[in-house]
Amino acid sequence: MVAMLLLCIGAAAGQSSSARRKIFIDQDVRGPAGTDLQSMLALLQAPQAEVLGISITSGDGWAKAGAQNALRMLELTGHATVPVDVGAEFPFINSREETLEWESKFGVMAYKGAWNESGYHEPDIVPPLRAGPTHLKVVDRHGADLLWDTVRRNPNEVTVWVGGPLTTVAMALRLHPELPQMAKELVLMGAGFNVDKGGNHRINGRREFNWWFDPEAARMVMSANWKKITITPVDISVKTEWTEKLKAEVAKADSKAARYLAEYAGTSGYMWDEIAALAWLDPSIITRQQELWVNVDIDHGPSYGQTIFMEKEVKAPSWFWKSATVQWDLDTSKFYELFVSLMKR
Amino acid sequence: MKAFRGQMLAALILLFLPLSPVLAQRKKIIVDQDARGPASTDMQSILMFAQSPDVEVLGITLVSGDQWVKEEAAHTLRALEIAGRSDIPVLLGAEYPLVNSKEESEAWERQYGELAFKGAWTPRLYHPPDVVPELPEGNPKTKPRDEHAVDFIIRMVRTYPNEVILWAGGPLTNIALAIRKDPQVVSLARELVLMGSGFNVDKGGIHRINGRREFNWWFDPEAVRIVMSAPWKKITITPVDISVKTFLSDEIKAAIAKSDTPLARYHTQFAHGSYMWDEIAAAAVLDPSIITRQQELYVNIDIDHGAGYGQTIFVEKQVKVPSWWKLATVQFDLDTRKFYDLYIRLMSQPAPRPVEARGRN
Repeated sequence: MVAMLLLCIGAAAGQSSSARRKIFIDQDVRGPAGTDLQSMLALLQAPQAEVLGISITSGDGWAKAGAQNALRMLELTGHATVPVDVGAEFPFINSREETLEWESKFGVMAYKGAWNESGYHEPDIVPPLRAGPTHLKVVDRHGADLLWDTVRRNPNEVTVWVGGPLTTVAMALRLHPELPQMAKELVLMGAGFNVDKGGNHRINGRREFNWWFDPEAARMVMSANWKKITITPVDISVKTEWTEKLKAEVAKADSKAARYLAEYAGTSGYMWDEIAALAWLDPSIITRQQELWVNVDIDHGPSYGQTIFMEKEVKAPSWFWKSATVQWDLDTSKFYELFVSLMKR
Repeated sequence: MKAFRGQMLAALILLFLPLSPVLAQRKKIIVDQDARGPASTDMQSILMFAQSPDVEVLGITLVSGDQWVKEEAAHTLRALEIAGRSDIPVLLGAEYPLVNSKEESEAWERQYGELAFKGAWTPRLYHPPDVVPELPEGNPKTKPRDEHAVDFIIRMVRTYPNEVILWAGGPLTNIALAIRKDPQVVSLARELVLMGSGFNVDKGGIHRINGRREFNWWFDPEAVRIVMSAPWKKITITPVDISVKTFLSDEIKAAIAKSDTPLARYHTQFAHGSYMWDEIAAAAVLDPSIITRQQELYVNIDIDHGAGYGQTIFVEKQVKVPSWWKLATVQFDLDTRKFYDLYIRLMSQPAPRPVEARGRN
């Protein structure tokens, strides 16, 4: 009798530990490889994660080109069955033109993603992929619809994970107001607090690229009623570094993921989005985090797109300020080890 | 003689035959509206289109504004039933504006003064968005479509490229979401026609004396910024300035009360004295000659969340402006007699016989 019970409990435990965590990825892509695709790959490689869908939003690159780069990565790394579609092509209000005017008053930014002067192309253009053309196709649905559908079919189970500007998520929010309560949580790379590098004006970490690209979307998303918000900000990003050495370590393996990185990864850069991915997979890599009230400045003046934030002790009107868990520090050895091990699978 | 007359007739027919498709072609229109009911400027403008033989209403897309969208849907469905036009699809759109909110407006009011009217957020009328209070005109039996209003707009504009008039009588949330979801909508739509904004008028604003804070545009200023910065083929604006030159008087009501149709009776029972904000915007589509003065201006909106939030900003055409400013034809004056006559005629007549239902819609 006891043996039977133990067997059942054992089986049940095995069942729950093998149940994978559901996640929907919304990401901007500058490829091949790079922080956008490497973070996505980490989530795809993780045995405990079930990536239900991916939507590509404009940010680091335009959405259409980004989607092609993402599909090619999936194709090369053995993840071709995951649906990918194109999300929002343009931010809600910010624009390349407005940015140029802003820069003429407040100074040229070091990085503007799809709007960078050097290498600029129109949104419909898909420049030839360095990793080669893909046979895979995007799903013929808008990213906001795929996101909503995924959450709706799996109520309270899906982590909405965002590595780029929040345009597609905000669009889904306004089309489907039940979204934030139906999703399990929101996890994002974005925002910056008190860090002197990594911002669009390098020394000003508060103007972080994702949130600056579409501040109105960040305002909508950060004022919504999510059950939980987790933020990987610039402050923690700059504590990591992708290096030749790391790349070489990954390249030792013969997995598809390892070969993709060996071929296409760069040899430098902060691991912005990879932290957001790995911290979701293994929260123990985060060694210091803090709950804060967090939002964004949408005044179109000198502070447009900057993070605004307050300590929890401050009495904050709840319609505007939502609490977010902000990650400050990580165990870098554990982080690099986890990343490498995921790529070797 | 008979043969000659026969030949003349045949010749005339042949002469005018090519015109018949033109004559038979009605303007396709999507009526995007914050359809407060029963009656009211919102519903009355919808009914004008429903009653007119000159337009084909592809659908009514609803947006929160004067009321919450779910409540508006009930009133719209009921009004269409009464008017015998349940063939017109009704679709629900955005429940909330993009950035503005009831709470933000309350915070703004604490600093800048109480607003006279806030639509669905007006304190003495307030109820949460899911609540649909009992309809005094009776509950509808018909249902809205399942499709989201924004998707309907996109689909219709793509199905009938360069044909669809996007007519907006309320906040621009649906239109903004549509053009951000499918950027092609702007170039595929025939034109944008809207009631909103105010320029130099000392009544009709939501701080009454300030006509520049007009309700529709104030409810969702970010949506206006998105819509008014897009390169539509044509933008036509019916502002507060012209709205306050009209009034739904007892005289007009009495004229319509002479008719015994269900719609006329609905109007007699529920229509109330008011500026005819949206009816002008509808009438001008049906008969542009009612407008006696209009002007092309660069028009946009202040989205600074301070004292000017939601106010119209505008510049004369001669000014050299960056390309995000777009020209709009702003209507400033009308032939009120012609307008009232059109309104009375439309609201008094029997329902037009509906055209065979189009499978594509």
